[in-house]
Amino acid sequence: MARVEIRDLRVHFGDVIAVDGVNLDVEDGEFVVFLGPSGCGKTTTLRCVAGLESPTSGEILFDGKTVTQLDSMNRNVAMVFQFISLYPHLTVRQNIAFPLKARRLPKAVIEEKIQWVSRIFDLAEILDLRPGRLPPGARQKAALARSVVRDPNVLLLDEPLSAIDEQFREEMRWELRHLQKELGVTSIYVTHDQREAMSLADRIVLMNEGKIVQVGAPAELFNDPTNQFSGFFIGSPAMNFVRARRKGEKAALAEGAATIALPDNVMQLMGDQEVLLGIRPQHVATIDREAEFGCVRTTPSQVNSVGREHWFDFQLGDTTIKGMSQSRVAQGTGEIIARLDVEHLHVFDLKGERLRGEDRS
Amino acid sequence: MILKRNSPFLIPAIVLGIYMIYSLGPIFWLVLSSLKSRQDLFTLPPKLFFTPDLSGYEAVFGIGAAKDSAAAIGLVQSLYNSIIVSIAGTALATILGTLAGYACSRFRFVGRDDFMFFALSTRMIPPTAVLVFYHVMFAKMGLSDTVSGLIIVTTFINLGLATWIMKGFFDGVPTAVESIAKVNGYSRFYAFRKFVLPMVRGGIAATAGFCFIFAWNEFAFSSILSTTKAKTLPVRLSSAMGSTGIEWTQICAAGVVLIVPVAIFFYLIRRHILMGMTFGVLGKAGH
Repeated sequence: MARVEIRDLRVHFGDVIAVDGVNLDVEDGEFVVFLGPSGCGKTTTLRCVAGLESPTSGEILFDGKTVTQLDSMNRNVAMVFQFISLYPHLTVRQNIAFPLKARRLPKAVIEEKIQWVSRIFDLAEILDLRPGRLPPGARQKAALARSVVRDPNVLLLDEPLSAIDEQFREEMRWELRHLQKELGVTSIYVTHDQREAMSLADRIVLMNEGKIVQVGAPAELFNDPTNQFSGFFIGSPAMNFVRARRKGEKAALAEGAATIALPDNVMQLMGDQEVLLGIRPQHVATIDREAEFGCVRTTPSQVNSVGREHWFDFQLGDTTIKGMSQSRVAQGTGEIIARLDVEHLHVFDLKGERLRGEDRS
Repeated sequence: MILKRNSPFLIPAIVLGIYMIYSLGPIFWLVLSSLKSRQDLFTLPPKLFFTPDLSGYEAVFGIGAAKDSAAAIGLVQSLYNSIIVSIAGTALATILGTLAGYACSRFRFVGRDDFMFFALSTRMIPPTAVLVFYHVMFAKMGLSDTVSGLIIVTTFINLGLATWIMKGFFDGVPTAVESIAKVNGYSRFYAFRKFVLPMVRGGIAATAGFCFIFAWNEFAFSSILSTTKAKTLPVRLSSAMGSTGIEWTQICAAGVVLIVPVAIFFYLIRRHILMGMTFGVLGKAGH
């Protein structure tokens, strides 16, 4: 188990810049999730830590010692891959013994370690089966067992749950999180699924176009996005964005499709320029009586109830705003009052950068 | 037959039938002739039924009564040359092609695509265009009319194709196979030897099959680079004269002997032929 430092990492593939200056410290025992859309450089960064990819420039350090030039076989990293991690012609037991044999450990020690790990991961029944006969969940469990059996410096996971059915994925996530804390192994997990990231991570590293967009605890990213991309990528359904500009005491939304009263701090942030207002659907509700701030009279264009969540859409010019109501919103009943919770309203400039008041930097 | 008169397959069946006679007819004729005695061979009209005479084969393999016969045209040595050259050339081309194919499949290096094109282009060169220069080159190096010289040429002829086919098969092996080994404390070479190579066993067999067929049939280079001692069977046959004139029975027998290994190899690798070819092409497109 080690502290992992990534210093100014850059990876170029020909003309393509896959990773563009990434700096990050991962604390010993921490569970960090690299999150981002495909092609954002998260997997390449992970592969650099593993030693499977050589960086164009920059450094990787384990416990303060540089490993940039080390081959992955000498880094003592463990990695679980997206689809295949186990060798199909070896049994689960042989697969788990594979990294131990590389270190020429005595047979008795190997057997002892296999017993230990199979107890933790509950593998006793499948130890002598070949991976081909196992469901994907069991396969990845065995792959995890193999990766932690030899106290790696860092555990690297490249979308390990994506091949698993939705049903089991939830369970596997919970188990993974639990085991990671119990074993205390420094872990870096790559995913494009923000829900997965939110439920697993101590800290999320949000990436886009080879750069880190934002680093923070899941709640931090959810509540305090640094830019439009971060606001958009985290949370489901995605954050609503609507253009706004000061118009007298109020603000005109979507080029005058509606006007809305906003509190002073928001109006100050807006100044005289056109801005983007971002608000999560969870913070757009329907109310019976107009409140002081954030209310829009509108007609829902679409409603959809999923269990206890009553989703509704309404149009502001060309912009569709999604909201979530406590009670069922009936379609075609005419006007409703939608209320944007101004406490959770984020202001971005038109380039997508967050505008912040001086009091909350 | 089973085809009705107005079956839509009638015309294709006739066309294919004619094509079959065209392509298999000469082989049938060859096999028949190889089993005929000199007298039967020149009878008109040709006999379909006759007493088989193995003297042609005996002469080719240098056994039996024909061994010391004056009529024997000495095909044994050339058969032996053919076998040595083909096997050694195939082995070398397959081994080197496997290594080169792996490198081209897995490593990014400057000029990889150019290299792949170059490798393929070696097969596109019309041999006649460069024969003279080969002749001079090999003569200077003392490799003219030697089996080792022919092995070098045969290897070179096949290496490009072997590289391409093997690259295709390696492209079909997920890179995770090596990655898994590496993150578990093993070298790439270990993964290559222990896991990747066994996974492309079929590909290696197919490549070897291709190479062997090309090597076995190779005529142009062998004919100019061998004058007496190192002549391979195809070359020897083209100029086969015995002391009593052209020995057609022996030539036909040798022809059959030439066909048999090709037929066997083709049968063995038939499943890989299409795959080997398309993989080579698709592998290029995928990068």
